[in-house]
Amino acid sequence: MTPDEPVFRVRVEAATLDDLRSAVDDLEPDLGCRAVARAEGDGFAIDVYLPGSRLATTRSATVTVLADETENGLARQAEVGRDNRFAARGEVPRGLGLKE
Amino acid sequence: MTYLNPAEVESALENLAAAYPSATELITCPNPTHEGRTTRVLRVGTRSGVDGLLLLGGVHAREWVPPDALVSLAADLLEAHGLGTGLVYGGQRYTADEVRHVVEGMAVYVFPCVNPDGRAHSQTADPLWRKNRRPHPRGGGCVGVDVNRNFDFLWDHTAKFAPDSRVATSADPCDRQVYRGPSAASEPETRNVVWLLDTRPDIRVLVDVHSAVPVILHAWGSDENQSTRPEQTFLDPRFDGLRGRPRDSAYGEYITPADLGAVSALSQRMRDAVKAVRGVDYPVEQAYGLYPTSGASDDYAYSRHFADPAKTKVHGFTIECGRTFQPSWAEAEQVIREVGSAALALALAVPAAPPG
Repeated sequence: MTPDEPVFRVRVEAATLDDLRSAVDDLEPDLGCRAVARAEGDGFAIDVYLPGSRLATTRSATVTVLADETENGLARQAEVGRDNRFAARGEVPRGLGLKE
Repeated sequence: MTYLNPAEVESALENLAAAYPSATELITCPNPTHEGRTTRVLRVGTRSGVDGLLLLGGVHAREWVPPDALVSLAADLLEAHGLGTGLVYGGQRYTADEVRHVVEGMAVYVFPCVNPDGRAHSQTADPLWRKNRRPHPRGGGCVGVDVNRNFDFLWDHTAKFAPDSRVATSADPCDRQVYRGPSAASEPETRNVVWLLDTRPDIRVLVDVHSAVPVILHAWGSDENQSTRPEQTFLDPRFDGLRGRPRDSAYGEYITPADLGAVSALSQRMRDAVKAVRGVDYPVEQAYGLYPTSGASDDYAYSRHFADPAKTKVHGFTIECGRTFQPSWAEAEQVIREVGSAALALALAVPAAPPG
């Protein structure tokens, strides 16, 4: 089953944390893993996820579409292991750190 | 290279255990998932009776990088220890003595894929799927529980939090993202983590690796921290219905100055180790962000000691790595290095943390 409509990652930016909270309250987005706002320029920002039909503007914040995460994720599914590269006991994983 | 699928994660752990038998223990979790998958934990460490660090990945299905990052870390530690070398992640270098210190002086429990059913669904069907895949027990066609809202820490948010706190969880079985489950620790994935903490009292630190922000989070997630009113804790029902509001005096989650200092210092060590890799900053913040959270693994781990003083105090952290759930593999490799660097820095710092 694939999602019914595309979900977009959007950045919500506001002058104050209260404004940001108010905007997010209005949008009722998927907040991602945790709702972590960060200082951005003179204000605050948070990246959230919204289906296309619910992309909206708010009075207290700026909303910018960053990416179509559904399209991105469907494309990334081609970058997932198909079989089992470690099926043979002798195939030992190696990490990405340099050993030196 | 490509992202690991759930079967590859488990095979990777098996093969690492077989290749490095004197430095590993392969632990099988007792609770199979709804779709019948068995998950494993790889304990990396040559000695018993040493402090433990538990690393969780794959709790949220759509966050594809953390399981790969934890497998990579385990493989790095074991290979470098076997070769007698150090480890280099971008601009961050760990010496051979530091690798030996971790492998011979600690136990690193690597649990890379807590929620394999969800990961399989995200990687093959719905890429933004977050929860596990267990249908709601009372029917209705809704599927999945957010494992990171299912732990027994202020789980019943409707009773424990202020009605206007907008705590980031849901009692609606059809909530696509944050359904908390029918009861605390109702899910096999949750119970496997609880079982590990129950049976391995050497574990002193838990890091739940998620994505994406990026940020490093420490206790508490339930309300703003305060260190002056020790009566205000998650255990006290007098504060039920008051928790979670920002900037109020009615309730703040109590944390001792010593613990706050310890978790802040450990978080900063991870931040510095990440930044040294390629310059990306993972700020350190309290897990109470824009809204409170209940039922999360990091708070649960830390809360156990206060609910039952016989249990080990476990400092809980969440790393939100990278900027997207499913970056290109080239970018994922960089994030994997950042996570490895952070975890290794934390492992080296744990023995230096003030005793709890």
